[in-house]
Amino acid sequence: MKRILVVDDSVALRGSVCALLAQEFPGAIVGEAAAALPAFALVAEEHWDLVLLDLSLPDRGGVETLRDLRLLRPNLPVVVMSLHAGAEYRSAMRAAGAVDYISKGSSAKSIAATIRTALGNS
Amino acid sequence: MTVKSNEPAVRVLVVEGEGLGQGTVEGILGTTAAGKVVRAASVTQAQELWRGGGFDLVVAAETRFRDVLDGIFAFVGLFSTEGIVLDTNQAPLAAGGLLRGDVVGHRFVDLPWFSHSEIERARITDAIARAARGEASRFETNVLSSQNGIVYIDAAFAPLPGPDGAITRVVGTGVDVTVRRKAESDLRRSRELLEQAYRLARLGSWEWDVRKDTVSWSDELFRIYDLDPARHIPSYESFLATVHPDDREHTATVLRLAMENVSAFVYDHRITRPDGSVRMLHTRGEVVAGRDGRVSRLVGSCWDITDRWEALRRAEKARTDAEGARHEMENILERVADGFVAVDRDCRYRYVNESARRVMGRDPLSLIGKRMWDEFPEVRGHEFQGACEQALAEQRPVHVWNYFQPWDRWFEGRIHPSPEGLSIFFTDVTEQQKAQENLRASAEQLRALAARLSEIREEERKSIARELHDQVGQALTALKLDLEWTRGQVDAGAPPETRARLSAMDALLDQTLDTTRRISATLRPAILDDLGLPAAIRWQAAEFTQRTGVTCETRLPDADTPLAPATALALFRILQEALTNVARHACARRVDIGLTVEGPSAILTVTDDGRGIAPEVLSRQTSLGLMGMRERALAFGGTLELSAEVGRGTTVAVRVPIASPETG
Repeated sequence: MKRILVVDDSVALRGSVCALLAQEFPGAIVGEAAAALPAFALVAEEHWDLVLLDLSLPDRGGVETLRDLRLLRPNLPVVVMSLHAGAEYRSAMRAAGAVDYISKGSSAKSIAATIRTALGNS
Repeated sequence: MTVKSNEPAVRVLVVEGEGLGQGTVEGILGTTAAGKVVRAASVTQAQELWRGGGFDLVVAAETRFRDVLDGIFAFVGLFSTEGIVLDTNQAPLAAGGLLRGDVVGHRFVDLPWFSHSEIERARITDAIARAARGEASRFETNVLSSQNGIVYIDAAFAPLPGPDGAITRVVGTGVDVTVRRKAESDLRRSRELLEQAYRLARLGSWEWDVRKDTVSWSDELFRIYDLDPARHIPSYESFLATVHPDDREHTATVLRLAMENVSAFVYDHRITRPDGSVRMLHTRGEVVAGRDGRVSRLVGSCWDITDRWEALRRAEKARTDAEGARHEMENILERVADGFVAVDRDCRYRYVNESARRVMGRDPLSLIGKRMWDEFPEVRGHEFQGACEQALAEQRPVHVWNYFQPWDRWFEGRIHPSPEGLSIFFTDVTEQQKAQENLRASAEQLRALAARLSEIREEERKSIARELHDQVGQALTALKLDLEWTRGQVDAGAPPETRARLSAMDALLDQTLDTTRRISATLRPAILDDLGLPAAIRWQAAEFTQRTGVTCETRLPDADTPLAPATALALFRILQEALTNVARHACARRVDIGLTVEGPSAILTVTDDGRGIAPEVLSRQTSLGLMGMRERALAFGGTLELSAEVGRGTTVAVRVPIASPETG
């Protein structure tokens, strides 16, 4: 049973992502965090197979949060999500330790495929 | 013999001798009323009488006659009524170099004496013919002498009746008047020469016979007065009337005093000619007194000196003009706000104007001749002294603008070398200096304000961009995911219309999301905050290439630069502005963007291969958003250089310190 943590300050988006995950990954356990600090707490306390991390969080910068998550759980795969499109973000996030990068405008199918790949690598 | 009453009586000298008794001569003359007979008792006496002059005719006995005639200098000839020479005395023969045989028996007028002139031949022929008719005549003629050339003769021809009363012969006499004529002619010529000289010298002469009250003028004087000698009768009164009204009283006084003192006089006066023109005359004259000591006449000369007078007047005018100009110059110098000081080569005061006096607080007169450095020791060693020495040494103007501590004032000075030394203009620019300082301070305040405004704007943009991103973007993303989820649930069994509507919604959501993303990025590229300047530059370069088709190469550090976010933002905004210029103006095919860190500075360069910028455009500080770019760099303690060459592209180079100063 895969455990996926969605970190995003948008309730609506979290709901949509959860719905997507429920559809694409039946039986997966989906956790939610609206900011970086609650996310750190959850990661510290529980086991997660994957973190879907939004780059713009209200309490911390996305790159910074990614770095801290990597420090906290070096083997925990993190897929960064952002509204920003572009190769710059993808390569920058990979350089920072993310396993992948999802542009939020992408289709549900491509998002699911990215997540699936990330889970398979974990 | 008949003699016309208006003819002069003939005087006959009669030499007593054989056959010439008292009655004979009277008999010949016919009547004593027609002539006057003087008798000579001997040839000697006759010669003396003849030399005394006044005789027209000598009558003598044959032998005596010849003796007498040959002894006298006058020419005497005896002619037939046809003009044939019957006899002549020795004088004309001697004068003509002829013998008696050469002339006797010849027509008188055919003799060589008259070969030079048809006119004289005609006159002689006429006179002999008239004498043959009983008519005496006297006239001046001239003959050609083989020895003396033209000889002037005072000639007389008279009839000589025979014993029967009939005129059978004509007697002619002549006296050589050449010397007299020459003297007269010389006199005339010298008078003419004098007139000419007077005319050339514009020198007229006049004479006023006071007793007769008549005035006579020389021709040249008439010319000077431009009056017609035939119409104008000069008089003292008419003279005074021509004198210029302003000089009339003076003229009358001069003449009156000269007459009272019987003295010479010299004076200048103007006259007005009939055409209104004014001439200036220089008159010299003297008063001549009669034997009784009373003034008899005044004589003088007038010299037309108008040309010289006008030249003098012009010279005088030029002199007064020059003097006026100098006065005016001094007036101006006195009134100019600038201090003006003239010094000699030793820097001794030559002139100090009113403004300079006010500034220096010293009486100009007390300064003249004194050295500047002695009078104002506080100037010694000051930049001003150096400037004066430089102007003197290099003989070129020196401009100074400096603070003079002893007086706590700022001065601007222009020090010009002059032939005498230096001309120093100076003005108290303390107020201007303050104004400039205020201006500088205001400019700095303005710059700070502009920087603050820019900062606020950036904050606002950032805030709006975040709002768009976080709220709208997230919501749209959620909607998109939900839509896709829904489609996954309903797609298979839904009618085609529903599927089409859902598909359209998806497309619209994508479009809206893209727009939102773009607006957000434009307002504030999140990438700058998220990933740093190099990533933002790379993103901007790619975006630029995509938008414009211009190749954009970057040379950037691998890691993020240690720039303060505000400084990084400033550089990024400058980059955006530079790229906008490239897109709008450069017609470039390639842009190179470089970012390097050199010591304490970060350097951003944007180089294009476009058409460059014309120097005149480059010199306009407001051109091409250049001012905005420069202001941004300045706000962060940086500099911006723009180098461009027509046809060779443009480079914008911005250097900013990495440790950003407080921007206030």
